Amino acid sequence: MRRLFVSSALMLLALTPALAQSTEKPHTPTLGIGNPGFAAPGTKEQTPGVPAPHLTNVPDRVFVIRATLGGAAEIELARLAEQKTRNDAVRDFARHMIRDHSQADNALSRLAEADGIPLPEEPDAKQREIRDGLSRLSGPEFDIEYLRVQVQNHQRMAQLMEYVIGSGEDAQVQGFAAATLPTVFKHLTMARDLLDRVSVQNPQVAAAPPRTVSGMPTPQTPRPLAN
Amino acid sequence: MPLPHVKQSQGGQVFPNILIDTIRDREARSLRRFDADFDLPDHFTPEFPPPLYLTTHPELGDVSQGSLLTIKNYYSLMVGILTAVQLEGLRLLLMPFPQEEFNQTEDRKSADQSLGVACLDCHSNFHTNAAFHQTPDIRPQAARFRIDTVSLRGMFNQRIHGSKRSLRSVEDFTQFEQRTAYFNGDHVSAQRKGVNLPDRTDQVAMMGQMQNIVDFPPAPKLDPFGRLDPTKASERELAGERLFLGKARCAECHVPQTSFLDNMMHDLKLERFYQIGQTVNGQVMLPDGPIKTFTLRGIKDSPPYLHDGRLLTLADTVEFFNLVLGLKLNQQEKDDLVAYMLTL
Repeated sequence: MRRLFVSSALMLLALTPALAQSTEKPHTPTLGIGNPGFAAPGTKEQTPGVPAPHLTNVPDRVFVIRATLGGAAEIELARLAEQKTRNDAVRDFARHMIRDHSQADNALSRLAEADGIPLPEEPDAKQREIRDGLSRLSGPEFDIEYLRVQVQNHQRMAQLMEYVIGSGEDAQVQGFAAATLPTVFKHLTMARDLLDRVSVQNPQVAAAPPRTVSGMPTPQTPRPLAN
Repeated sequence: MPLPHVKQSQGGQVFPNILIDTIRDREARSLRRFDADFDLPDHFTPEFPPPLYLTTHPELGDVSQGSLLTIKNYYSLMVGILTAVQLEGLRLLLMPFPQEEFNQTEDRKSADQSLGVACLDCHSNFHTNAAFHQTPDIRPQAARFRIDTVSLRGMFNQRIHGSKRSLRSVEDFTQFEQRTAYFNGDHVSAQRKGVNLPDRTDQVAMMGQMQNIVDFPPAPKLDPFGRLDPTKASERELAGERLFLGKARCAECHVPQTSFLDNMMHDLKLERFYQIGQTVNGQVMLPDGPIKTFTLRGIKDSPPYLHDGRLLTLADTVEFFNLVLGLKLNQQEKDDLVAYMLTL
């Protein structure tokens, strides 16, 4: 747990400058970013072959919208976990999520505004379903389901970020994704490790048939059951 | 860390300038893209045009006669030493077909509508000219790693093909490359641009017949078991071989008796050495996963090394594995290993 604290602090430090760099200063596209393989005919160019700033294509918009929804859901679920869980490690993890995602959320909303992407106000139906499902659980069951949902969400977010880095057009959005992706992988690793640990501590719960919330039937790493 | 493609967001085949110039002169076909250029300096790429050795004619040595085989000259060069089936296979391997970046539609990266790309445009004379593209087997785009062209020498001894795909025969590979290397694993785009789908039982078999008679270059110091002949090898080379088989652990995957490969894929777990998730030149640095063991026969002729060409020289390769496998080799040992590899 001490290691978790230290590594959280380090991650926070690592995250802040990266985000600051990608959003505070005027963004000079690094090689490979803002250099799309395909642009619609008639795209405004700042130099031949390079799209003008703040022009978005479908991958950019999909990413910004889903990342906003995802980030908001993360914060909501993390607050729920912070209140409900009786496990210290899970509470630390939840607090970590709240910190990191609040920062990322701010950066993202500024990007969306600069690019003129209308953002959804409400979480979508699937996210509401997950939140409601989790709020009905308690104890180790809640911890395990919450962590399973975290693993799924971070896998999806990593894939979404890779998608926009490869297929996006707006250098700012791509820069944000490139800067944030290492943190997403760190979160994914944290979630998987924590899920393993909590599952080992509660093998009967972990081995139970799939729950309706996450749909994941088993822990990430199979462990022998203690009977 | 992985070496990115020159234009990660598009990917596609990028050819070295010497090949573009030669093909333009011989065939009046342009392989130049308007959006991407080759990045490696010439001294890190193989000799061009590469020599061609046939298993069916070891007495002749290099049958290319110093020329690049093209659709225009292959017949006069090869008729008489190839069977009709092999000659037809060679013709198909030299025939340009539409490709994702070189085609006749509006979605292309060549200035003019292009006749396309031939198999041997990358695999010049059945070797490699260091042209590269991106692995067709991975999505999303940012996660696709760069693929350096592999040499086709010694296909007759290889059981799995493709760095990640593990195709079981060169015929499977030949049949399928039209949808993979040519069209990035996108059969829909392939269909739209006019993919060539060679007939498996007829054309592919013939192309396979031709590829299976391409030999490794001569290695006069090796005996039939893949071991150095002590009467011919120098002291440094023999020392290198001892390391290869022993302390350096190379032979655990690059088995001399089976053409210095083991017909397996291995995961070196390189993600121990770099942070995953960072973006470099548009490519997200991810773990490589299992990759096919590559043959070391004739290895001196095919820089750059590793599946994406990230290692520019043999010395780099030795140092790479020194770090990755934790071998703690000293400088003399590394030099000996390079001396040994030059004999293969």
